[in-house]
Amino acid sequence: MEEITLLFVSIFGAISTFFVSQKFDISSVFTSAFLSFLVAIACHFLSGTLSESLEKNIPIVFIGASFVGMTSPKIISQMRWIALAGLFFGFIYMNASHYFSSHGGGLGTTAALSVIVSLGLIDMFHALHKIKNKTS
Amino acid sequence: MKHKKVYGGIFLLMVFFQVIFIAVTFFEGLKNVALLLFLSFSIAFLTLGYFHLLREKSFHKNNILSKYYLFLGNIIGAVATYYIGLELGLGKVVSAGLVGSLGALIPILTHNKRHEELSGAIYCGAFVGMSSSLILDNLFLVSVAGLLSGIVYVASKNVLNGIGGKMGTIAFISVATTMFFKSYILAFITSL
Repeated sequence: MEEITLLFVSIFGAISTFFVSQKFDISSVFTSAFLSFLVAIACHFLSGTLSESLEKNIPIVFIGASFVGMTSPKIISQMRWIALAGLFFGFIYMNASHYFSSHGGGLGTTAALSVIVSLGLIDMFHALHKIKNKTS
Repeated sequence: MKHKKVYGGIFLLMVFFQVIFIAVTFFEGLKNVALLLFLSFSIAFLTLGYFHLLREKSFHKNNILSKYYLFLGNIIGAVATYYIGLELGLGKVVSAGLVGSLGALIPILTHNKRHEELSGAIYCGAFVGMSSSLILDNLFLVSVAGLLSGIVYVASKNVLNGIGGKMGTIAFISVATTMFFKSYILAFITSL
């Protein structure tokens, strides 16, 4: 159950940062930093109602996923692909090496990997779409 | 031509560290079939993604190398985040969020769009400052890692632009390099 919650947080972190930044024309740096700050503070005040693991992991997953949401719309323009990259982030985060968990930048590297994997998927999706259109 | 080589080198450096990151995860997950399948799938599409980025030619000439204040932004971001998070005990997400938000207010307060680069540099430094005290155990090492991230940040200004997580990758490169120097080079020098 906690893993599913973290996957939802991951998707939410990515799409909320992307949406707020684009919709209100706010810099992606401010959006990511401020939303992460708010989520971390909220988790701190909800410390009695959340499990210890969720209280620790929700802010970390959110800030990491918010890096995914900092992707420029020139690179990924559709929200569904940002959501997918956010989901990838959650999967990689939960399975990433503990060796790098204490290194600064580990979350960002995971986010970059998620975005680049999604770019590969988008390319394949477009290629398949073209083939389908040619054959029909 | 020289610029193209520099940016090509930085691109390869970033790819190298990302590949190391996923490779370590891959080897740790060798016993788990589902994880192995997921990682194989990720690596296949990661390769496609890198080809996409190369096709887009995301690196090009720029005179950003003259903007040395971005080094300072990275160091300030790293030291402030580390200090607030660990020394004041507020936690690394709160401190990175706070430092990043304050840094992002600079271009708004100064009404200068060019200062957005500085806020990006501060946030990039904040990721360095999110390191555990087991990795960077004093403010001097944090400053060194911040300086390194500043150098990579400035040199990679036009590499992987618009890719979410780029600044985190820069921070990871700088922290891993600082750790390498601390663990091997300094140990070698002191053993002489």
